[in-house]
Amino acid sequence: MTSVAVPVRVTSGPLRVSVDPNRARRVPGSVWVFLLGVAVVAVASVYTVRTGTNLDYGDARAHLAIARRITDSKQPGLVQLGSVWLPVPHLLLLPLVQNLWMFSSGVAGCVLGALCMGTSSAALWRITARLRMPLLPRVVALAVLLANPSLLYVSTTALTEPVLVAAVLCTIAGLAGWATSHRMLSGGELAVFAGLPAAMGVLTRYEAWALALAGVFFVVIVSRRKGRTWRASIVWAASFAAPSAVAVAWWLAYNTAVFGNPLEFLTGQYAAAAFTEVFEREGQLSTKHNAGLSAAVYGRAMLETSGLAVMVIAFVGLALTCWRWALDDRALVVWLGGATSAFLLFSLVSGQHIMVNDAALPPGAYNNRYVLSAVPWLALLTGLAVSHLMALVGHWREWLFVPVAVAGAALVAVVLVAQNVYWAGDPGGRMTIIEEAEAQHAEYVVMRESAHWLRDHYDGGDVLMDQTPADFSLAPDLGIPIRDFYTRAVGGLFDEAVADPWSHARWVMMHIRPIESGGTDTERDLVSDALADDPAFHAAYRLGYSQGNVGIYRRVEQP
Amino acid sequence: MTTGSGERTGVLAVVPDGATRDLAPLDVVDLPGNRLRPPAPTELAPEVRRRLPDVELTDTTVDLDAEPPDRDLAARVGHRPCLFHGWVPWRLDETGDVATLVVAAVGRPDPESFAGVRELYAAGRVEVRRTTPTALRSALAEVHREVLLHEAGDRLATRFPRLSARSGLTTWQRWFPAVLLVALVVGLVRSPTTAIVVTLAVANLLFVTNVVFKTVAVSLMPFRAAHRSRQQLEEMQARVEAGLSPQWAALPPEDELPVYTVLVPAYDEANVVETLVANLSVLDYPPDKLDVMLLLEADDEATIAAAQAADLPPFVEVVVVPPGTPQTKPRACNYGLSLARGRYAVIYDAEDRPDPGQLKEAVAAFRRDQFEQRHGLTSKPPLAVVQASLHYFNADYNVLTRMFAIEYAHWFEAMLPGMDVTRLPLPLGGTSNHFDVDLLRDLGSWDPYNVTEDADAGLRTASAGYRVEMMDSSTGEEACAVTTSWIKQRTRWIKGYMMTAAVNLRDPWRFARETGPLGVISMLGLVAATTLAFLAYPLALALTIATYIGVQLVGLDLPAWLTEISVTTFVFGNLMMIVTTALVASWRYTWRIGIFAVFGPVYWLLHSVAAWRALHQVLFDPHRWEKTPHGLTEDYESAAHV
Repeated sequence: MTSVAVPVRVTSGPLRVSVDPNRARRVPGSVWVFLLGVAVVAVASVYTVRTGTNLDYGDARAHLAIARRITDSKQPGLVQLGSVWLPVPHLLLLPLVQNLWMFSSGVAGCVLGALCMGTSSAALWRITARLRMPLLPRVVALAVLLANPSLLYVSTTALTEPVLVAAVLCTIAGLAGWATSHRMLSGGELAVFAGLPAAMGVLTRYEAWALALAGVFFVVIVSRRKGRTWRASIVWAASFAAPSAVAVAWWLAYNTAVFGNPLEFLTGQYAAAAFTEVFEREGQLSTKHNAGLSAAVYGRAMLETSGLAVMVIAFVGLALTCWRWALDDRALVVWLGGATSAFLLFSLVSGQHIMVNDAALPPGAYNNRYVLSAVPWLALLTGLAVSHLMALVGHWREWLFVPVAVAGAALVAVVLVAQNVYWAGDPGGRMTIIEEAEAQHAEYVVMRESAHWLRDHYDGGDVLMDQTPADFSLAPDLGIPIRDFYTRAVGGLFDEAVADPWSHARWVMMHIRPIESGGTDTERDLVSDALADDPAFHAAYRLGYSQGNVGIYRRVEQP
Repeated sequence: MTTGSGERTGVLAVVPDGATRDLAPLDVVDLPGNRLRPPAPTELAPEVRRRLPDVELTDTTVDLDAEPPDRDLAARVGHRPCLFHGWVPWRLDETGDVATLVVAAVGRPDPESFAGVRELYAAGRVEVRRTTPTALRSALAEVHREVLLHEAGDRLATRFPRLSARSGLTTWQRWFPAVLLVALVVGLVRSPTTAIVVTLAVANLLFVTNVVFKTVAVSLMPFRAAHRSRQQLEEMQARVEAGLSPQWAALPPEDELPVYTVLVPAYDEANVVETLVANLSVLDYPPDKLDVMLLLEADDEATIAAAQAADLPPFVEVVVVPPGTPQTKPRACNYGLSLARGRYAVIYDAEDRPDPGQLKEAVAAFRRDQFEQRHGLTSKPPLAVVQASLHYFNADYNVLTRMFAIEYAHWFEAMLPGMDVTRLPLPLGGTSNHFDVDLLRDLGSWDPYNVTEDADAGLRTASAGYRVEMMDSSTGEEACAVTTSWIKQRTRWIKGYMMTAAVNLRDPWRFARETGPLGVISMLGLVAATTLAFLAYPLALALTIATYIGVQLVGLDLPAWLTEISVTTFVFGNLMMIVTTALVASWRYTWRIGIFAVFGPVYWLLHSVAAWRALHQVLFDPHRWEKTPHGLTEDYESAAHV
């Protein structure tokens, strides 16, 4: 007796449909590229952690402190997220800073940055596949991303740019995958693969809000082009936007619940607007309502961050893309990469953002790292320049295809090497992001030494200290569990401790003389304001350490 | 003919005794002698053997469609024996000295199958003419139409009204939700905080019960594998020591395999007929032992036309189920079961892709159990059903199918095997459940009024003292890829769970006595708690969210103990489910599927929507069957499950 064996299919699997590998779900090499991105930042981290430069940025230290305060505080909980910064980077850092060493050394930021760079690299790799770029231009794009020293440096810190870049690239990769898929992927998939990264970005930095908005238009345009109805197009757009909308709603609800004001993050005393107001009052917000200066400042930041040669090649790539692809779906994907830059430029002109560099009036180095969100776009455009040239030459003389590809890739390699050699000659002078880091490093030397003294001599008993002023954002350097501190972040407990330090804290660290500042409340040291001239305090506490205007006091106790 | 151990016996006693001549067809059906399986050889009296008529085989063909059997004549023999032996009484020729019964037969019927003819028809001779299996089945369906329709629709409700969902909820069950609602409203008016505290506490209790039940079941899964492996090694060792081959040959030679009935109910699925043929054609089973019935509803003209137009293999027959109520899948299956020729039967959906060796594995499982039962080698109850696991071949078609695949992986690969260890009654999956046909009929077949007839049948099997076992074989199914359809499908499933719980708990004490503590645990921890937890889930979720972004936002002043316990159980409960489902789904499919378990809390909200719809339908429209469309993902291009 023979069994039935009609050879309809050879396994229990489905009938397989032939799929273009660049349009398939899995993009070969994504995992390896992810690992490469992680490895590159890991190597960079070894250098920055050993030199301590990964903690140069005050904001980086503050991000680490906020993340740890959620669990390590006299008043733990999500309320510690505050409203100054959007919450996703802190939530991502949360598990990493649970280890005190990873927190105080800043390694937590390195780990997050490495994972973000790995994610960014893989996402860029996938975008280039969706755009059907040949292998060599894809490698070129990846190289431009991974060989950017400013981005690498920031990826070793706890700053928010790596998270933003990863979210932006994942969003674009998701949208590109959706737009180029063989079949129209569902709204759910669009929400997960593009909407969720967009929502992560939306709760990371405001630049991503522009990308989310651009993404909505992108989805509508692409689906209409695919012959879908308006209703279907709107459903897809809503699917993409839904996670971001939920994220924003949650953020508003959080601000309402914690601060009683849904727009606390915009209008509160610690909001960015309060800072720009101070800058404007001091006449330093020269980019506001000045499109030319804004463009110059932005261009300067890009120049010192990406290098002239890469910018030129990227511009060529953009021009060729406009010429060859006009505004087809692939071109729209490319333009999505510029959404954050457009938003940044707009916010400089409208006075929402501050950026200071040698092109600014007055010159300086402040917030130039914002342009890092444009680096992936430049990388993509650089790869596209090579890709377009290969296609054009290949069209003209087929045999020239490979030589042109190799020559193009070699040219970019030479450019990258030369650019990095040039930057290495004077990092602080030629790269504005490094310049700002070095400036803050120098500014904080005294503070960090003071922090280390307290760390070495601390024998328990809690510390009263206002860590809100930028120069006192020292939690990682202190290396002491944050629950031992009375800071502004513990609300009423801080006020009680300031009113009665003797009953609360064995140690007090403050500015010996109150800070003279016409800036925001965040620049004031409330402990110093209350205790610096209080004789009762000085009778109860003895100055144990002082350097410059920093004093560390210990409670006088019976031996 | 095979017995439990698979030997050929060649024994039969097909017809009731002469007294049945005057019985109504319904009575004929339920006579013990009318069972498909014949009595043992010793039961056939020698005098019966002596009374066998003369049998003449001819090459004459009968077209039963053009010349149907004499209705009165054919109705004297139950349809089951006729199907089993492959003949139907056609004409009675009383012109000669000896009356001759002319039968239309498929193949060469065993002469002994005519043992009762002399008494029933006063015929001393039987003339056998040829017909086709399809024509035979159609003729029997026509002759026994009333019987078959009764069996399909109302047999269970007539014989075991207590076990049928036909009468729906009892009075107290119907009023119970209303009483709860009134109590809640009164509570909210008199003491809002107390009412909310009690509601949320109950919601959390249900949620925790459900999570704990599932987690414990899943955690037992590895023990099952270890136990089986150890048992297998011990058996091999014992066999070797006894001078036998290490492994027991579970299967007989292929020509001795029993006839296997495959029921494929389909409705409005003209697009999957071709797929059905392709999928069933890979079954590794002798074609002449396969009895595949494509069960189509009479009003489904498109699918009937597609099936008739398709080039169906000889072992696939189109069976049109006559109109009737309720028009449900279990009714169609019952109809098919009545016409089944097989010793065992399995249900597949039209788009199912069973593992090729699944039927043989099921036969092996039954044979092993029969052997162990006969020789007292097991303390387990007799095996009535073998359930294959189910997976989705379009798992990564979209997010919904991924979530569905994760849920199925958790259910079939971890939970049911884990429950198997504890011998808890197992609710059956919708397809790929392999039945011993006679036992299934004894148990009342499927309840056509229960929209999850599978779960109900599983629990009824346990109540009757039999067991369900999981087998190491899988069937690929098509996951529903459209949210609205998914909600309708899930509404039906949850409604079925509710009805199953309601039916079984009409008399809770009796249920507890019959099923014992394990049955009670299964009913409360799985069937009842699952549905109630889905109903309560939005409350627990809302509380957690409100607590995290500040209770003052919604003006609640809840006791700290409640918020802390609730948030803890909810967060850890969700985490537990996410982790376990992610692990199981990653193991079953890939991590690319498993990672989507993080969206479980959102997916469970869809369950809640379905659960509330189900509650509404249970109260107001209990027998409504919301059909799940199939063949929606034909453009699927991936292979995540491979």
